[in-house]
Amino acid sequence: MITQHSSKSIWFFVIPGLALMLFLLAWPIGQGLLTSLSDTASHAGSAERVFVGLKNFEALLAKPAFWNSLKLAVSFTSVTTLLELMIGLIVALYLYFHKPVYRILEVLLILPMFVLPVVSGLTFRYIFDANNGPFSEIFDRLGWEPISLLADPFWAFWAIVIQDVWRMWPFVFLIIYGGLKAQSKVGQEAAKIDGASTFQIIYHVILPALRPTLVVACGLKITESLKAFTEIYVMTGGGPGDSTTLLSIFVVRQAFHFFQIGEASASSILLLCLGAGLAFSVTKYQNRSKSIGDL
Amino acid sequence: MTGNTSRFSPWELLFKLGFLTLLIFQIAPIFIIIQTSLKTSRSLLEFGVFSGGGWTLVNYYKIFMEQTLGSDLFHSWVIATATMFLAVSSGALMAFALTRSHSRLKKNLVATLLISRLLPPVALVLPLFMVFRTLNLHDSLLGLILAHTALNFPMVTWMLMPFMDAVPKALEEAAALEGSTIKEIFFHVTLPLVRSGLVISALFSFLMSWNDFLFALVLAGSKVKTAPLTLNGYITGFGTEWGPLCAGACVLLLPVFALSFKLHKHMTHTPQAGAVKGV
Repeated sequence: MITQHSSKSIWFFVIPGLALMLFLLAWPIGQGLLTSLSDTASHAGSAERVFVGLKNFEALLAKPAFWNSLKLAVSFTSVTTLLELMIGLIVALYLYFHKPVYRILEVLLILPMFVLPVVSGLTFRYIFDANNGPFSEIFDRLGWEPISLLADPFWAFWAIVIQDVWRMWPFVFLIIYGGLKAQSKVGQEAAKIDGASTFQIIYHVILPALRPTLVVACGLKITESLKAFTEIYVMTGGGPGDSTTLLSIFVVRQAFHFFQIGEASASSILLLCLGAGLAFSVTKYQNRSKSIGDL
Repeated sequence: MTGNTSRFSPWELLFKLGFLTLLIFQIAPIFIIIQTSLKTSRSLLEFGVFSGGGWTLVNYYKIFMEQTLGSDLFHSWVIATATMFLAVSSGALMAFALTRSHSRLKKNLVATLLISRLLPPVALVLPLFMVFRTLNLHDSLLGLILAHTALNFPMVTWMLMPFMDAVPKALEEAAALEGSTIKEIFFHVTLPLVRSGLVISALFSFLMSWNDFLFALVLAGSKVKTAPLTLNGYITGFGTEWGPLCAGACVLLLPVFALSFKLHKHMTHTPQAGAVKGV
């Protein structure tokens, strides 16, 4: 290999990136870990740290609000992942068998995927706005009592789910569609000759072969929902109450609204571990199932 | 239609209807913000979003002439452009090193990159805030540029690696035999061959930075404001003027749609097609 006789100059290539990672990833994570193990409340403002062991974690785990945010993150993730996998799969199969006459339709369908999270969140905040949002306008015209979705703890959760489904199912769809188009047609044609119906072909031929793609799509979507912050923050701010305070919102609220830096750092670290664990399993699975292409 | 009904199975009709509904669901929010951005607040109150009142550009005039969106857009643009250059150059160097070397360091680095590309940014933003406060980098353009670069760099490296892998080794070996140093090989042989990869990752990191709200919210916000922050600032406790807000949203969306289509077109022809979120 060409680098074998020039192992010294490899550093020219590695150093900028390595510096970035050390300076902006490793150092902050170390700092976060330190802070999560220190008492910050009684030393607000001073740079001095008092090591308190796992006290912040203990306090965090004793908080109902933390468990609530974890529970919300899990329900948000499972509901959106399930819905988006379903829609993504159905649309992918539909488009696989019926190419739409106008390609523009396909583009319009996935258009929301490109919308900025902040715009998406604000748009849905506007749509569901109780006073003069389009949603209550429609209700008004139909002669129904307008309901204020974002002021109701139950509906606010479903409002953020709708927002996420709107923007993110095309992401899931593109992965599945890509996997679908990469499948060899031999099995399908054989099944067709044997007289299988379209549904039988889908169920017995296409879906089993699509499994690795579906797992990857599912894994990537789950990491995406763990990342979700902006759209929910601008849409509901975590409210009403803490009915939409997912783990990611909880971290920011804890740090910048309640100034519980120690506990916020502890929850950052927990979130980081959760994210890293997920990312690790997703990448591991992707590497193992190289057969599905370079996904 | 009636003559053709025998050809339509009920399933097919159901799917067609479902597809149409989904299409409307996907388009409606975008249609609504465009429509709202073109109406005055009075006609919004009187006629609502869906009808009447005529169109006007007064909201766009307002946000640019009476409010600061122009300068905040400029901030966003500067940060996104700088991030793009920094992330792509450091990412290209790293991707080259990682695809050409076989050391143990390589394996660990690749694993770290793969994982950090999927980490939730929220978990990083608070620690980063503390580091930036120590270094006096908070609320500055440089700080945001560095933060966005750090966020983008693992992704850019990961996107470029398959392109680097696809460069025929024979070309580089031939150049090495001619006596080129490894840096010359990188700049004159490899880089020109991965141009489309560079374009994709550049567009991608520009968009990531342009779309970012979280880092701008936590790491900046008073002296340095980016356009997404300003947009969210239009929400006030005293009743929000949705007209200007929607106008601002459309302005922010414009470059995103333009670049995303380019990105999407490129992406469908690359090894990672579909595995990358467009924005």
